[in-house]
Amino acid sequence: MPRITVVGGGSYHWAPSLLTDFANTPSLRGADVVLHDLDQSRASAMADLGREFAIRRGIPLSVVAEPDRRAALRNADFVVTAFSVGGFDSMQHDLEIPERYGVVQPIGDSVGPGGITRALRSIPVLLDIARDVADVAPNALLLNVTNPLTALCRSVTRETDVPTVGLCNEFVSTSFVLSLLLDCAMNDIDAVLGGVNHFPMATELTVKGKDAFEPLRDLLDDVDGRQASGLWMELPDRMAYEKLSTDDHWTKGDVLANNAVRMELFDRFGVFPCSGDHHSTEFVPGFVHARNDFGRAWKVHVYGLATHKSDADDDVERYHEMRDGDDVPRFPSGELVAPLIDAIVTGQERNLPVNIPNARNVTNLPDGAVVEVMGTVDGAGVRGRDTTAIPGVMGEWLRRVHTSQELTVEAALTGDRALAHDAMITDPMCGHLAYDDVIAMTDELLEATAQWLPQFQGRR
Amino acid sequence: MVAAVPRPEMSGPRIVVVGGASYQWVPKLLIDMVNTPSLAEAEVVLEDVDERALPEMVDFVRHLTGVKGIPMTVSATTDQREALSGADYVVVTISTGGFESMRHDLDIPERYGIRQAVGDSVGPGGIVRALRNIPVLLGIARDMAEVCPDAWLLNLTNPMTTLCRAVTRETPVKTVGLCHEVTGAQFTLSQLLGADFRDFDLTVVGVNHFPIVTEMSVGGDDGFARLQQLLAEPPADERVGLMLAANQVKFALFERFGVLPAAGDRHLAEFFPGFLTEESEWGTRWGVALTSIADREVWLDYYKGEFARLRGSTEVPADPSGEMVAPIIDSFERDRPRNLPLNVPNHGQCPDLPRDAVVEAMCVADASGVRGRDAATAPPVLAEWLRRIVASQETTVEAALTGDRDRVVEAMLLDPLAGRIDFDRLAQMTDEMLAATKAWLPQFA
Repeated sequence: MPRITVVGGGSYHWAPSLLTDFANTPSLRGADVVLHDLDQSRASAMADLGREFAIRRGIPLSVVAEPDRRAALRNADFVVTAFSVGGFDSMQHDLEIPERYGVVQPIGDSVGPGGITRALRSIPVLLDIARDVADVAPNALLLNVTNPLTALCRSVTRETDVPTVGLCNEFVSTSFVLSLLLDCAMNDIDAVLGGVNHFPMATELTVKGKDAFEPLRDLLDDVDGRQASGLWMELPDRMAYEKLSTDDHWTKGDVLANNAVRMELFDRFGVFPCSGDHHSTEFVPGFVHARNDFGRAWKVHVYGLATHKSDADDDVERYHEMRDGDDVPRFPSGELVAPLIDAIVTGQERNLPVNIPNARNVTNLPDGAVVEVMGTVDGAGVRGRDTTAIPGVMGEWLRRVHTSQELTVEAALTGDRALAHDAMITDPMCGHLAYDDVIAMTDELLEATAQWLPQFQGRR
Repeated sequence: MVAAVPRPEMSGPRIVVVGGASYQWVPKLLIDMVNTPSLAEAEVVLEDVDERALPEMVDFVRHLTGVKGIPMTVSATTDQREALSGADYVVVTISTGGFESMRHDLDIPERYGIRQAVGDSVGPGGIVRALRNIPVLLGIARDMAEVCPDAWLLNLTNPMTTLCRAVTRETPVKTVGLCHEVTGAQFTLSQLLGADFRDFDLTVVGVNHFPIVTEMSVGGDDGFARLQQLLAEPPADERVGLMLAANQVKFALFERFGVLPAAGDRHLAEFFPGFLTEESEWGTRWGVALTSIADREVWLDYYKGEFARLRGSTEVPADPSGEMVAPIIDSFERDRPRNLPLNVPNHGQCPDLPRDAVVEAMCVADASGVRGRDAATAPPVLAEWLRRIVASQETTVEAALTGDRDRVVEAMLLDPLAGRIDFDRLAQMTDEMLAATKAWLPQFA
């Protein structure tokens, strides 16, 4: 049975989902799960939940909380990293300081000034973990779910030999949206992907092996008035969509209107962005702009710290519901950690979107860059399935983001302030600011978050 | 109309100036030519679509050759193919639509919150200007391929990079783009450092109006070290103060990235999104003034006045203009190698940029032609800005060739100035510009 160590294992967001999925995955029901967290009381609370699941299901799942990181990592087969350096205290600066300079970030966790600063904080921590993994768990696969995913995974694959995969659920939620629009099951959807995390683009999209771009275009063109047709299932409340149709039921037109950015990008450029609009817009200038109320005219959900915090409150509430309930949720969380481990453990081949070093998978990015592509996972491990190129303007934007991400990693590793400036100057969200402001904003961000940036201290 | 007078007995090269009625270009190019001994027997042909100024241009050149006492001949025509027949060098200085079209290049983007310092290289103005000029220049190049297939096309017309790229992409005509900006920057540096202009040797990488000096030798010394010293402790000299104030953008970039962009600040500012902003009062804080059509009209009056003055003078100015047309022809004719900053397809001189994109780099010109001298790389951020510019320029060329409106929107999306505005309004601005200048855009009709 695999030994799975979760660093950040006290996370209200991650631990309950992971434990639920492990309990629901036959190959992982007897897994040896170790939860490590800087806050041992939280890790213990999560371990309690895991043990409760084991008892409720009568399965041999073992869950312990281990306060010593190296002990937790020792001989692990899989190491899941899910942490946030500085939490909301640091994130507040990521959002508020740029906003004073006119940069409103819908999320602020992948690119943009917030994503860059977050990477500067998280990279040294993840690298430290990865170096411990290399020492005490040399056969482990590192599964990183911490954002910004691309920059973080890249720092590990650049600096260590630890095999690393970044996992994100955006393709899963995209599949759900597509299942509503195309009247199909989520599992019937497949895509050839190329891009980086939170900006993966489908260059081919199929439902049961048949082209899905054509029906999607017909829907956009409202052929036979099909935008008025209803959905095959009720929309979950948590989608937080705005209803525009006057019918008493949700229509496909409503779903299109609440995904306006990716539909526009698909319509114009012919590739389909497979992450939510709140993410995609951070990679493409022009959608989050003063002229469109910072994306709200495009129905982009601008999170803001309050939403991030209320999401966290929901996570706590959900934990308590699970702990005080008498069953284990049956519904998969939508996260890809358990399905990926299952494919490796059982040898049952599965295609999953993964973030891995480019090996001619996305031909317009250099090999070695961390890219999000459709992967093949089986007993032999994880590898990219397809080779694709992102055309034209979208390819150019991808290349631009890649450049900024490489500079971000370099800045995080060296603690060189000038490189942090460089990453910001080349970033799609803040690169268009007045030149002086990019520098001043960066300095202000580094100053405000100095306590989490030891590598920048004592340097100019 | 002045008839073309063939002079078959002469041995000098046939040099055709397309746009040969230009008050801005003809005086300085021709003064350089009459001052170049290897061109004394040249056969100069001035060709222009507007015949009104041609007679006085011919008179002017005859005045120059008379004062110098050289056998150079001059004729004029409005017939492009006739002019190009048998040419050795074709100098192109055109402007499709003149100020009338350029006005839209500046006014429409301004309504969308984009102010351009020049509007002739990149930015919405540079892109639309390329759409107007590319088909005209390609028409010239295709005629050349038929009636003077061995001739050199020496392009001075803006936007330099996209125009040269269209020709080298679509025809086999030997093409080089010539621009005085690096020379001008070198002159400023020689004044600032108190060094002889000729002692400078520059390594250059980039595109036109955004050439980046990555190494600078002054008489064998490290010129960058001397410049750093000067910037750290500027002497209390009024002229130095004025020069520093007029070059703030390039020195800010030099201090940050350690390399020196070597075009006028008004050009450089258009290649970055952060200089021509409301916050900087549209460049004022950086000492960049926006060139308006009214400014250009004043300049034209000045050129005309200067033209009249030169025509009445019994002397020909001896100083070189700083333009490279006469020097490069001299290098070709006499096989005298010269190092010049030239715009030609990338065959390794700019490893940061895609092969065959037109790049500006230090080249060697001699009888065997033009070839890159160095293989220079820019620091990561500037290399990235160059790649972004090239991506927009390649799309601009594609748009000009195909007449595809969506390609124009894409070029704008990728452009550093145009790409700053709201996604929907960018498409709207593009449509407005295409509609306002449609008289000069037959390929989009």
